[in-house]
Amino acid sequence: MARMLVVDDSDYLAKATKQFLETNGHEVLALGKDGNEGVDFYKKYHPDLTLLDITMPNKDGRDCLSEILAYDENARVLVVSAVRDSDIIMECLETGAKGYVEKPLKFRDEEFCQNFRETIQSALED
Amino acid sequence: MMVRLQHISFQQKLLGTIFAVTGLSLVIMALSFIAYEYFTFRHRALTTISGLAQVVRLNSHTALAAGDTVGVNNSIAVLGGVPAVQQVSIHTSTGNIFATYQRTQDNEDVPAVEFRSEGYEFHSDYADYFEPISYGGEVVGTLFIRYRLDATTTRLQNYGLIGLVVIIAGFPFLFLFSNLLKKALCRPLVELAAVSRRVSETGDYSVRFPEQVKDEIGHLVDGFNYMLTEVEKREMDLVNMLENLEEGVLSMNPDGTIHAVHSRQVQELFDYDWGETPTIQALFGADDKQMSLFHRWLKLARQPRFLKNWKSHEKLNPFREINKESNGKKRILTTSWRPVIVDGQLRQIMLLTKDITEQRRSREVLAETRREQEALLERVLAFVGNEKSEVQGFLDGAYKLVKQMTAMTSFADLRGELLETKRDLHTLKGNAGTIGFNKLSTIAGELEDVLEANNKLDPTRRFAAWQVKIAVFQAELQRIVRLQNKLFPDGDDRMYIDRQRYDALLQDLKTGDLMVLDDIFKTVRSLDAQPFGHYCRKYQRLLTNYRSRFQKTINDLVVETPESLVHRDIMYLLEPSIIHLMRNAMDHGIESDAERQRNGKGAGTVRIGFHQNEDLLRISITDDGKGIDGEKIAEMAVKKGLISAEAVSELSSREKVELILRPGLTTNEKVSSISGRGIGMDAVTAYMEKIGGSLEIFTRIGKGTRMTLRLPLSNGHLMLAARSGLDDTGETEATIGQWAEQETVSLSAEALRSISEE
Repeated sequence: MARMLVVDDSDYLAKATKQFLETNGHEVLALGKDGNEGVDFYKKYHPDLTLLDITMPNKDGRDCLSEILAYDENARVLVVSAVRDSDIIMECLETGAKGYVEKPLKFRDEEFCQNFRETIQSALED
Repeated sequence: MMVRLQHISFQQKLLGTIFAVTGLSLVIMALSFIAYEYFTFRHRALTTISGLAQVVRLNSHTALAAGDTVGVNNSIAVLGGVPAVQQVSIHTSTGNIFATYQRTQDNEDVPAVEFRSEGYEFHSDYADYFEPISYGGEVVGTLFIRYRLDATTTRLQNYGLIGLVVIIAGFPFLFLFSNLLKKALCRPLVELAAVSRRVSETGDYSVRFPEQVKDEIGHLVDGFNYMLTEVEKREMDLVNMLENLEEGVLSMNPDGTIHAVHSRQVQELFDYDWGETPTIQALFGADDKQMSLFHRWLKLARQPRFLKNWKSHEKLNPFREINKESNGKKRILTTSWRPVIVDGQLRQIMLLTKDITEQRRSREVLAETRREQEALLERVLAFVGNEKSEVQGFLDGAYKLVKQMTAMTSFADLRGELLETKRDLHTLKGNAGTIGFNKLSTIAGELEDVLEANNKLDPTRRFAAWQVKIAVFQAELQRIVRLQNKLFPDGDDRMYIDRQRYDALLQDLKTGDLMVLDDIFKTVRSLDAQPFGHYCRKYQRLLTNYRSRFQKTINDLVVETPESLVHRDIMYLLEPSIIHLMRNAMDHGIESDAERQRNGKGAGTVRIGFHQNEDLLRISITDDGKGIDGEKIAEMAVKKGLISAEAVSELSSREKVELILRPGLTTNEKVSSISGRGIGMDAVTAYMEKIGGSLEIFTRIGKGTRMTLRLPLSNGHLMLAARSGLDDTGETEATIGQWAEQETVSLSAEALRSISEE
């Protein structure tokens, strides 16, 4: 049971992620639509874990990640992105993301869900 | 100090121990001697002194009693012979000195005597002794002796000296001795150590410790040897396993250099000179971007946080899949990386490399086959519902165009025919799409593109592209024609199939097991059902032929239910009977023109109809001719001896008509050229019965006759009969066509044979 923030410009994906997290016993504090909201919500709620999409309007995930970490260096952030952007993911991990979740989010695939859960768990324990 | 001692060699330890123990025991021995001397010398000195005192006392007591000074002096002078005696004096009972003897040479600093009447007192280097002298039971004086203890001290010193000398003199012997002992004790241990160091340094588990005497060390050596044998065996197993592994296994240092190569496959996968210091880059032939990604990955990989969740991070691995040409083979390699973590530190990374070229290729072949099959079915679909002549016309046009286009490639200047060809191609593209030859349509579009790009491309490349595309186009066209021949083997004009079943088949092809092409055709054909009217064209032709040959005025065949879909196999099954009945109707049913005119009838009409419900299928052939006269049939039957006159009289009029179905009865005296060639109505009856059906006659004299072929559909025999009787391969299938809903048939072998022989 952790308090979480989901930042994704796709309303559908954000809701699906929220549903997944809630089924797994976590609390989703807010859904952010872009990087600006991500930073604002982070400052407002101080979630245990933030799931951060990379490609977003206004402020993308990389900038959002940097700002969150500048505000709180112990922030736990998981980057959600397609692995074909391995450069970006690598950059985010170097910046200080706790891990990444590979897109597409296949919530119907049990193996994917298991990986997702493990990633969340290990990010929370970190 | 202790810590440092721990690290000196075992030999030195042993030497030190022997030295220490031996030296210590010598010292203790010497010390105990000295202590013994020290604690016993007082007693001995006292004994000596009291002995001396005894002598003086016995010699002097008479003289003392008599007051003879000379005698007393003589008696104490005796003690002058004992060097340790320093002073002797005899005091009177009042304490005055009566006589005294003092060794003169050492008169320096004699401590004063503290007089006592009896007893003794030890000082550091002398002892004072007092003893009363009695005579006749009366104390007459006191004897005092001062005894020097120097001698004892000197002896103690001598003892110490001797001990020291012994110890010092003994050391060389001790050294020699302990060296000998050490050699005997340590040699096996040293050898053991040397061998184990070699094992650990070289990793060579084939070495063995030399045999030893069976003491504890010998057992240790045996144990070690056994362990080495086991380790070697396992190492061999491991090496064998790794050597035969299909995967290349390497281990890599965290800085990206290769640590070790574990499986032989590595050599096969990477054509690489292992003499050099191998690096990942050289191994994979990776580009700079991949390498920079790789180094970033490695940097991250060293972080504990990254290590913790390695599984998901591995996906970031820049070498997940790599194309490489090595040993003259193009390969697709995948890699998988496993961390070797010791004490929370990344020590090495195990790298598993697998050649998935074959796997990928077979997957591609499979996908290609599926695509082929889908394309095939798509082509099949194009034939469905299209008039064969339309398709044929289209195909003829396409062939003409191919010829035209091929010809174009042989002329340098295309411009003349270009416009026309382009137009033709465009039309063909549209038509192919409309008919359903999607692939052909696509290729035509591509050909168009090549023509469009005519001016942009240089001539050589243009011609190459052009030729290739034409070849592709031609191949597709040929496929379609081959398919056409397969689908329309009997010159049918149009094919209909059940669209729902067709879609199911398509789905099967996309997801299920692959099918052999012939099976696909079979399945498609089993789906084939055509409108009844379509089959009836053949019978119309039959009628037209008859009409012209026999100059009977008969209207065109009336098909009552032209739209009903009938399965091809059913029509095959019933065709001989239908033709027979048709001939009968035209030949025997419909009267001659003259006769009809006489009866006021117009041109004759033959009708054919198809009716089907869930379990029964009927095909009826009706004529408006003279009908069948039951009485005439009965008469003839009696005449031919088929039935007795008595039996006939009991038959109803309908039963009399049905006599026509019996073998050996021919009503018409005049045998025409098309019917009555040995097979009459009886043959039809027999055939229908064999396939599980029947023939029904309904007739009215002067009005006409209706002959109905009845076939129960629920009867499994039917489909089996249809298949076994008509399948051109001649094989007997025990499955029922899809439209008969998988009804299982159990038939005796006898029955099967009789059906097959039909």
